This record gives sequence, C-alpha cells and structure tokens, in this order.
Amino acid sequence: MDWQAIILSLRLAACSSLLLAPVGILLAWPLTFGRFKGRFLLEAVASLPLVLPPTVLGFYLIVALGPLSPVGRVWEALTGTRLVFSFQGLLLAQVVTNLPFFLQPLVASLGAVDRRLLEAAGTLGSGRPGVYFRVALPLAWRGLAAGWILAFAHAIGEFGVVLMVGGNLPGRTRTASIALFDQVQAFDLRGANQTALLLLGFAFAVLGCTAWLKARDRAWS
Amino acid sequence: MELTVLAADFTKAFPGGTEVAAAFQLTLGQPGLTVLFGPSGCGKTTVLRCLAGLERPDRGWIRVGAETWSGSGRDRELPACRRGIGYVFQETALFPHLSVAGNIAYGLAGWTRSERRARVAELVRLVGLDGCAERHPQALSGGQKQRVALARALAPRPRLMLLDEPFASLDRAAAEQLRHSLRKILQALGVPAVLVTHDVQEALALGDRMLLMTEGRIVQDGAPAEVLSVCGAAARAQVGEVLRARVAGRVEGLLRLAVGSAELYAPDPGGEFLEAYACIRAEGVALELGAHGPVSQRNQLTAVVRRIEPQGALQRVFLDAGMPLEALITTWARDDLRLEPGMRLQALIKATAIQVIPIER
Repeated sequence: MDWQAIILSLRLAACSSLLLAPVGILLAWPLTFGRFKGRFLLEAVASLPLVLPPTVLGFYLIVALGPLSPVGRVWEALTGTRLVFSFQGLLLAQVVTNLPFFLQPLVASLGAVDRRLLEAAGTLGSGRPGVYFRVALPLAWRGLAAGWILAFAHAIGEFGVVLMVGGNLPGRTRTASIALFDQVQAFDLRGANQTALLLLGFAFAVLGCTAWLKARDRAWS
Repeated sequence: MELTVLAADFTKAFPGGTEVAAAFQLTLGQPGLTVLFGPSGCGKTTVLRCLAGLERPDRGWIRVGAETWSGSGRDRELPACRRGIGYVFQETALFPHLSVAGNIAYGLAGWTRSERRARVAELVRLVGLDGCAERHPQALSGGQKQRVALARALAPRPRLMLLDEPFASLDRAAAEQLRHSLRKILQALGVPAVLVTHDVQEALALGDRMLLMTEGRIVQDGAPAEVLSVCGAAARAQVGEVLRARVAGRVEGLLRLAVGSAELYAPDPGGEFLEAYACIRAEGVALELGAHGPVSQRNQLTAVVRRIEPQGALQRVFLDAGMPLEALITTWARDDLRLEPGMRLQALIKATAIQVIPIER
C-alpha cells in the first residue's frame, strides 16, 4: 500500500477542512439569513463545485492559481514558489471544491433553528453577529459537524481537481485516489484492491456518522 | 427615573391579513401595566412586535423622547437590540443550549463577571427559581420556563417590558401563580410593561390601563372596567357586567363587597386582596316586585328600571341598584311584571352567580 499517498491525503484533508471551517461559517450566515439582492447568485456560486465536472473546475483553478494569474504572481513574489503542482495550491483547490459539502448541512441546520430564539437574542441586545455566533451556530452544531466531516471525507477522495491542479508528484501531490489510479494503470490489482477497500471503509464510516448526526438534529427542537 | 413618553402611530399589514393601525402613548420610567386586549387575530401581537423592532411598520413612526425607534426611510429603524426592551414570548423561546443561569445572563454581555453573577442570583430569587439555576430549560415545567423567560428579559434592566400572552401556554394553576408574581416583580423593579392578552380575567386582574383592540384598531383606551363598559361587548358576553368593588369584609366563606352605594355577597376566591372586579352576568339576575318572604339569593337590591331593550326573544333590563346592573328576562316575564322605566323593584342575585376577579396590586 502507498502509505505516503495515504498520509498525504489525510494531511491535505485535515488542512483543507480546517481552512474551510472559517470560510464556510462566514458564508453560511448570508446564505441562511441574508435578505439581499443577488443572494441566489451567491447560492449558485457556492453550490457550483457540486455539479461542475472536476476537470472543468480544475482547469479554471489552474488558470486562477497559475503563474500568470494575479493570485499566482502575488504568491510567487511572496514565497518564491508556485501554487500549481504544489501542496499549497492543492489546499486552495480543495477548499473551493469542498465548500458546498461543508455548507449544505450547515445551512440546513441553521435554517431549522427556531426563529423566535434568534428574535429573543435580538431583544436581549445581541446584534447580528451575536445572534449568529451565540445562538444560531451553537444550535446548529450538528450541521456544522456533519458539514465538516463530509468536507473532510470528500477531500480524501477527490480525484479530478487534484490531478488537474496538483498533477502526480509522489510525496507532494500524489494522494490516495491518484495512487489507486496509478496502481490500476500498473496492473497492481492487489495494491489497488487494498487502497480501494480502505477508501470504501472510510467513506462508509463517514456517511454513518453524518446520518447519525442528522437523525439527532431533531432532538433540539 | 426620568419619565419619557413613547409615542406611536403606525400601520402594518401582512398579505391576506387585516391592516393593523395603532396610535397610542406610553409613559416610560414609572411602573404600570398596560393591557393590550382584544380577540385572537385582531393584531395585538403585531403591535407588540413593531414596538420591539421585530417587525417594521409599513407607515408611521414610533418615538421615545427625542429618539426615533421607527420612522420613514430605510435606515430610520432602530434594531431590536438597541431599544432597551425586554420581550417575553408566548412559548418562552428559551435557549436550549444554555442553563437557566446562562439564559438569564444572556443579555448581560457588557457586565463584569461578578456583576453578572450577582444579577442572575437576584433574578433567580425574585422569580422564585432558587435551586434551578444550573438546570437546562428542557428539565423545567411550563410555569418555571416562563419564569426564566421573564427573568431573562428583566435582567438587562429594560426600559419597557413587552409580554405576548405569557400565560397562554400554561395550565390554569401555573398561570394564576405566575400572574400573581408578575405584578409584584414588575412593581419591585419599577418597569412599565405592555401585556397582550385575549383573556378578560387576566386583563382585569393585571391592567392599570387597557387598550382595547378590534380588527386591527385600538378602539378604546382607559381604565379596564370603564373600557369594557363602553365597548367591550364581546368581553362582557364572557364575564357579564364588570364592576369595581372594594372588599368590605369576609363572612362565612363569602366576601362582602362594596360596589357603588350597594353591597354584594360573593364567593371568596381566596388570596389577599383589597380590591376586585365583581362580574355579574345579566342571565343571573332575577327581578321581583315586592318582598314575599325569605329567598335563597343572598343579594337583594332595591333597583330602579332605567330602560328596557328587546334582545331577540328576551328583554335586557338596565337597572340602577346603587350600581349599574343588567337583567336578561323573557318577554313573558316583562309582561307579567308590567315593567316600565322608572319602576322600583327588587333585583335578586345568587352569590354564586357573581364572579370575583381580584385586582393584583
């Protein structure tokens, strides 16, 4: 088994879901409670990675993070390294790709919080941030946890975007799902079977966890 | 505390609902309970929510002294969090993730830790929840939850308390207990309050002042008994003629009440009170021309017929018995007695036909 690839996958998933949490938490607020023109646009952009072919998303990410792009140039000026085909580039790509997986359960949970509790918090002197962070978010913690687990799991298994943005560099950008692809290409069916089984078991455990959290979410009401 | 006047004149409509139009004034800075009374669906809660900043009026304004809470233009709306009000919801709306103490301390964000702790302890004691501070709302009874909601709203020292049918989801005994404490608590803290209710007994027991609402309009404003006698026909149908009475004594389980220049005996509902409303339904009043010996009715009043109005197959007789009184009798009985305005007769009322609503003071 390609342990190097598996460890890289875990590291990538852990880092990207950590980075994702603050971004997702801030985005979930306008998506749930926002009453502004163009909210549908934000919703569409946030869900786009769900339906976009990974290769298309990967292509645009290369364009956006490449050495000729503003982001790529700033990054290169600051660090002297390039974003594409690097772990850092992969990390950013993963954040964008997995955002909808984080947001959907969180927004659903936030939407289910009793509005009167939010109103009560308002009459007790909480402004919008206070209402969100002190009442809405703590009550939607199961959605937050489910979103985080889903984003983590999806980051472990992501293939298309990783291959497009990161390529296949052992120890740097070769993740477990790319190692599996390599193993099949090299007719190493035994190794491929082990890697596939590991990823399957992991995915199954994750879905079990999120289903359990979802079932328990009603207990709050 | 400095007196400030809250003046409001606004309208608010929801699609498919009646338009609510409210114009009234409240004095902040002194205790006093204003009851916003009316049938279900007449727009009472909408008025309360507009005052709280939970709804934005369509037109009009709400001002407190020189401060504008609500006015024309988009940004002339002071958010609920900056109005300094306390709001108690019908279904408590306690935070399920916080303990009783956590709920009460919620609005004390700017206070120091020790101030917060002292205030929470003070309120827990005041609302009678000693020993419950660390419990979570799910472990409390309906009455206890509403007490927590009350304490939570009072904790940040609001200028005005707004209570939306706070007893509606409670059983009778819990509601009565809480009603009794509410008045004392508000008085102790010196906070003015607006209470929304459709229960006439609650309105009479608690209100210093009554705003009567019908179909989205405030139609009458004044002392509760007067308001009801002028235009509370629907409420009067529930409880009858509402008369303010002073407790003159207690005799063998009965109350002796002084009403106007007359005296009435009525069942004692218990509790300490000096003033009450005596509610007499016209159906419970019998008329007699002369005294013919002992009768079972404890109240025999000499009365003069003021006027008679037909009401379907019945006749409503308006009397002056040292207090206003109405009797509902059959047309047959009117003909038998040959009733005419100006006639003098005896009005008989069973003690048990009089409902006594103690005034919580």
